[in-house]
Amino acid sequence: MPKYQIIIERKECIQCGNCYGLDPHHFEPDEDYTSVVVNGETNSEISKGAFDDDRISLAKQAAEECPVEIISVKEL
Amino acid sequence: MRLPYSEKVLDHFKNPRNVGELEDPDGKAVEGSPACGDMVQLTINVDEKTKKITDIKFKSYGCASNIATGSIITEIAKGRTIDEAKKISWKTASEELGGLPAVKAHCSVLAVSSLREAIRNYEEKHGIVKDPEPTSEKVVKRRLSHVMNPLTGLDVIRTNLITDIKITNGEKKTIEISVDLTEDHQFANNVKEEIKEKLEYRHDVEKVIVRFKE
Repeated sequence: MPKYQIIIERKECIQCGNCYGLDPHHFEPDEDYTSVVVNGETNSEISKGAFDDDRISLAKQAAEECPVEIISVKEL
Repeated sequence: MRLPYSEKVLDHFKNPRNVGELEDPDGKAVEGSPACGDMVQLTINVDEKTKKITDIKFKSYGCASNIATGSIITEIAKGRTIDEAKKISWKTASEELGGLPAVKAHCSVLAVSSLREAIRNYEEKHGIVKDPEPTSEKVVKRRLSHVMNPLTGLDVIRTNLITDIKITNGEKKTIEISVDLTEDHQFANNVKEEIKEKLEYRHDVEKVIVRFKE
């Protein structure tokens, strides 16, 4: 069972790489260095994916540090 | 255009602290921003017992926001343990500096990444990386996306300077990277060193071979 969901409103992403530098388990760059959720569902506006691992604190730190505040982590 | 830099940002930009390069450092990172081509080099020395950062120096090829962030985070990190220093974020830097313009956030992130990568380099050299990822082509590309192509100012992956990546299977891997430069090119050695530095200390890597074109 997935424990939490990560959503990136990637239209506003500034490609700074903080999230995927900090937490490559959940975030990765696409070919333009815009952030996407690893193995998530991605379109030009949003990327989202659910996870059942124990690394939620790292995902939350990435959300907290995002300069443009476009990452949300929701516990399911 | 006049950017709204605070007095403190301007002070750290004009009189940056901890500038330079440590000789034979315990941890080192050269980080380039795929987004803008800025580069930062950061070196640290770490006390093996206490894991405290005893000395730290940085060099920047970046803007005021990048230089001021490099200066402030090196001030904050000195004397802290590596685990404490890993928690220093661009927001910590921005708060300490009295705010940074939003459009300059990525430059500040780059300075912070260089500190985190220098710590990671130290941890990889000492085999103390928590939860290490196996080295795959994806991991190699991610690491190399922070190596700049000196001919274009963008990274070596996006500009196709890396023409091939081969990874052998097994517990200890050999990675072969082919580069679209001749061996006698003026930047060949720099590119080779930066590629090696990004990969050779990984927990499951035995050898990194960089090949140039004929």
